[in-house]
Amino acid sequence: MAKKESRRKAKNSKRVSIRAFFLLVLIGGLLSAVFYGIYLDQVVQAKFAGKRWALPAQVFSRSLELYTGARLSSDKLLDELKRLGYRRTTHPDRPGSYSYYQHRFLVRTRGFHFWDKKESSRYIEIKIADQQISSLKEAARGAAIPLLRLEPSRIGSIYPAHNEDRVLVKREELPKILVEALVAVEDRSFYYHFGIDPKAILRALWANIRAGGIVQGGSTLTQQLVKNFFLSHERSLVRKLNEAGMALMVDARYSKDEILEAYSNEIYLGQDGNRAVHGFGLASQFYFSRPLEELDLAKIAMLVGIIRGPSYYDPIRQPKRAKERRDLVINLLQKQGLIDLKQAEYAKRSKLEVVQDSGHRNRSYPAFIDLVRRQLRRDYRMEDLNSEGLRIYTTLDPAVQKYTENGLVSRLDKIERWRGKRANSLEAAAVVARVDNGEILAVVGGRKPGFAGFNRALDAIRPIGSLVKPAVYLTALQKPKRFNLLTPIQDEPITLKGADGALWSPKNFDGKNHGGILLHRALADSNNLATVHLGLDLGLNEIVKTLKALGVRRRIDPFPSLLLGALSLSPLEVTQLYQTIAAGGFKTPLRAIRVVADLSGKPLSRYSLSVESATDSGATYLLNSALQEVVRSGTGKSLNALLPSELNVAGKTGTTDNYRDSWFAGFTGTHVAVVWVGQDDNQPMGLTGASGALQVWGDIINRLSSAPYQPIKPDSIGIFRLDRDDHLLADESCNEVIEVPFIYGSEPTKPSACQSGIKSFFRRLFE
Amino acid sequence: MRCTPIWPYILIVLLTGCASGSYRSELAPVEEALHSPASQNRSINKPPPQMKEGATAAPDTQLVEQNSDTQVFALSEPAPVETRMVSAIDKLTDEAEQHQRSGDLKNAATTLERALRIAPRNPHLWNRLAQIRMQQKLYRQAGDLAQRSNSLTEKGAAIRHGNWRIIAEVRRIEGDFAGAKKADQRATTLQ
Repeated sequence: MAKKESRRKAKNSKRVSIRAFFLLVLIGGLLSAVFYGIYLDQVVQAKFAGKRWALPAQVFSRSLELYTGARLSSDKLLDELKRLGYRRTTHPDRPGSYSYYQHRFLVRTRGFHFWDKKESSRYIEIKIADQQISSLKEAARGAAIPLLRLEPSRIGSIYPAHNEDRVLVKREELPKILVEALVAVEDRSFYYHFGIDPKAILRALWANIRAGGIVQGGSTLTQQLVKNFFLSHERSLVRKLNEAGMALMVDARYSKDEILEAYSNEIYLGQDGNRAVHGFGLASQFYFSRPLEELDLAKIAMLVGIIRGPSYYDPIRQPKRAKERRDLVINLLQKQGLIDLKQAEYAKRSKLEVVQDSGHRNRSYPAFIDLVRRQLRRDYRMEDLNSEGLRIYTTLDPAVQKYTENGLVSRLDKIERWRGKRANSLEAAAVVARVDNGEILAVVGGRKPGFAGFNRALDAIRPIGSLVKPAVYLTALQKPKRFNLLTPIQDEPITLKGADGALWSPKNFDGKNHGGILLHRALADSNNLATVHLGLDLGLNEIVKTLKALGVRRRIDPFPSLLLGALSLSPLEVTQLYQTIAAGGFKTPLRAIRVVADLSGKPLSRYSLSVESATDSGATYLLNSALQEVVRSGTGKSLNALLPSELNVAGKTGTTDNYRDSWFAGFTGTHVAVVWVGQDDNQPMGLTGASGALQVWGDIINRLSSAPYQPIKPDSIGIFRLDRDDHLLADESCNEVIEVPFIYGSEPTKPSACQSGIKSFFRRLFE
Repeated sequence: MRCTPIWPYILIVLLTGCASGSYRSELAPVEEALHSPASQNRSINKPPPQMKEGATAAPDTQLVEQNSDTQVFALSEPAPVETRMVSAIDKLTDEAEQHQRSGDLKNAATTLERALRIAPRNPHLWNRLAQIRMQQKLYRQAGDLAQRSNSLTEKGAAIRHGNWRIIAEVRRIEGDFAGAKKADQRATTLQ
């Protein structure tokens, strides 16, 4: 009995302890579920309520200005519209479309929110004649338009270390059919479930069991978003649980529209090198070079289609797969009654129309973007650049960039072919800027311009050779009491002690000594000995001063070898030097950025135009007339075969020891450009400035619409008529006369023998 | 064909001979525009001035080929004024003026820079930008811009008056009173 009782008691206490245990477990479970829920909720809220994405800075090109009288050929405008992703049609009825027939364009512009004001979408008519806009007006009303900006191209972005790039879109900007397609393909019960869809999970489970592997996912859009937002890509049960929990939280806390918007900006849609393309906004630009709202059914279907596997269905590398997948989406839409059969057939007939070399690829302008980055890094913190959604308006002219790239690449190929050199043995860099405002229009960092490698335009610091000579002659011409263009300069052999104490005897390029040579001719022929004599006479520190005034910032050692170009600069630095010369002595700091604005478009910093009167305008005018002579009859004369003489180009060739570097720097009325050709290993490559860089330079300038170089004569300059032989003042009776500019006070004062009175006097004397 | 004796053309005439003197006209003129707020400043709208040192017929074309040592120098005058883009420039200067009146000097300057991109050799635009920089108290910049404006004009141009006044003011502010006096003198004599 007692035994029985004690057994019962024991049984009871066992039952109690089991019950207590279960109760505890239950309470514990509930508690942890609550805490877990609170934790998930906080994670979700932190992400959703805060800034959801680190927004990369968007970098824009210049915008094309349209106005009557603008230099613009029909071909160039066609190019621009194509680059901006405008659709050519017979009736431009939507923004971003145009028609063209016989130099008459009808364009429905997109409109753009610039930092200073908004350009709204307009329907315009542009007529072009003689490579100029001859008329610009409203297409509908016929009212003349004084001027108008097309939107700039998005040329790149500065994105964070995890390499996610995106362009934000709002829920209301999502096309209706895009949302419908998303729901139809990815999550049919999106509007009805509470974050997870048990039926879909069961369906997927069944399909996977039957197939013996994972063939179908049961994830809702919400789950996909959560997965991308918070979680790693590992496949584990814990992660699945977290995902489900968070999806429930997200659905409970946020509206379906908010979830859709987040999803549309988060979803991964492709890869561009190491940059990941996220969201429909960027994907639309990336694949089609146009904004999301302009995409037609076929294109939207493609974007929705590739969500399942952006690299497997990559429209660029796997167009066939991408098209099949797209057509599958279109069929599905038709089956669900979202589109009719006709629409479906029409969409399926269209090509993918993926843009191959879209300006929206970051690889498009690596050298220029590199420059922009460096300029920005001086003024901004990196985390602001890659997260605050800054809008950076730059000076890049995509058309000039294209001509510069094409000119450089095709000419290097030719030089290698003609000279029997190994293909791709030469490297090169080029910079093109505007003379008057210092805006950098194009930067090419190597002969693979789309390849973000060594940026030679900025980082190839090479001896500039004879490109330094204008600084020597400018120093001389700034002393008009001693020097003018016709001053004879000594051209004799000379031996100097170099920086290392070794003796050094410079030679002329042709190996000859000319005894005496006129100043202008010494520069035109790039005479070494005359330059050394002149430079030593002036004093090396004076030359250094001139170089600094012209814009060289680097330390310059005042050794005699400086006179022949033992100064190493990058092509960009040389461009600054020549900009000052080209602008008649007015230095304008080169700029790659115009304005940095915040996400709302408000300007944060402006990089404004500034000028500095750097060198004497009269002396610079004289220098430039000699630099024109370089091209007309000096070391740069082979340029005449490439360019029309009306351009009045001025420039200078440069070659360094044993033909290691080939340079040309020069300018027209509008453009200053510098080209370097050489080898990365700094080995001799057998080209002079004229046979290498000059050729590239000519090909580049030839493609631009450049204006002739026509300097305005400064007040200090007078033009004097001299006898050709004795360089003294001529009059009407003289037959062989030259006209020479002088700084007033430095001109010859004596009459020439050719003057009638004197001539007859002499004649009488000798007859 | 006509052989124009105006000397911007001399170089081309020399190189090509009179026979081709006309292809100068096929050349698109240098972009240049005019905007003159005050009507008395229309000076640059006039055709390019004739040679001052005495007009000559183009010298013998043989000369260049015969002698490479003493060749003829490149002598150029301002390109013919292009007046077709005037409405674009007018619109932008009006806009700049509005900004300036409302005290938004930054946008006034940005708008003028935009105009200068279209017509970089218009001295009036450089002068206006100089005025804005004065208002922004960026004196040295204002002085340099006024000089740039001067460098784009002929002697005696009315616009120079304003430029020299700016330069004088800047020099005074910088303490260069002798220089300021000189600039004032040039403003009155319009040298």
